[in-house]
Amino acid sequence: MTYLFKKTVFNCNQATLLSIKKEEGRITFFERLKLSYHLLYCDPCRRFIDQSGRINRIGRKMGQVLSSRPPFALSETARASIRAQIDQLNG
Amino acid sequence: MEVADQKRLEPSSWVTSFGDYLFSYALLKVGKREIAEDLVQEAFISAIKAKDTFKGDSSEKTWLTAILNNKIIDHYRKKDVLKDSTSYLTETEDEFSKHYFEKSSGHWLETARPQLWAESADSALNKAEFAGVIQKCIQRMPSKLVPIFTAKFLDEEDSDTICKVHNISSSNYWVMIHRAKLLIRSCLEQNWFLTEKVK
Repeated sequence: MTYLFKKTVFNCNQATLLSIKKEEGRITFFERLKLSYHLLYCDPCRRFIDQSGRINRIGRKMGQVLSSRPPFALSETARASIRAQIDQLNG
Repeated sequence: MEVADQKRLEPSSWVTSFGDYLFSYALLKVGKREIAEDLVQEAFISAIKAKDTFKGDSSEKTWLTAILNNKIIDHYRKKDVLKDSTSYLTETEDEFSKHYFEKSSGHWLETARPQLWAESADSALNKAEFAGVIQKCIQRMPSKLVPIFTAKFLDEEDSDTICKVHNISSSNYWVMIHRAKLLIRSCLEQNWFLTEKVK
């Protein structure tokens, strides 16, 4: 019975989906129990959750990276055309 | 003095001060240079027209980013990228899952199991090429996932706001974020965290 539960009723596909809901605090009590139980024996899912957290952190810090050293630059043509338009509108 | 500075907008310095920042933000969200440049331009024009509404509660940069973000949302709305999301997600479910999970058991495929990442998020972020890899990984996602994923990832908007803005159901939201997370995790693993760049 436990074996069946592990194998079919609740699996990594569902566990990772629940972990995403958990990240945003949108998990029900029973979902949380199911997830914790699954994670007791599932190393790959635990690793997925850790890496998902790192990806969230990357997103959180990305704004700062974009401001302090923007990774992409406007083309010279676009830059000139945007400048001209701003100057014109700004009088 | 700081307050006075905050309240004054200086459009003549926008391109120099915020041009590349706003362009980088837009490029991460829309993927194509020409579209990102047009949206930045449109955002600046709207900002000048709406100059009087700037109250100085937020910084000039935050204000401009919000205007640009509205342009990006409009862009996706006009393209109607999110139409028929429910049938799209149902129809592609098996095709998507088979790259990650065994069909019968739903357990990780041997080839898709998360590998050990040797580098921390912060260390990766400190490297100049990393943002390019992120951009590439976002653009590889199916187009319906991009506006939803980037709103969560870059703007940290909560799920209710994202569902409302993009007019999707919350169950579709979770499926989309789940798929986007599986995709970007494996893309970053293959193109960054397991490669030489880490060392």
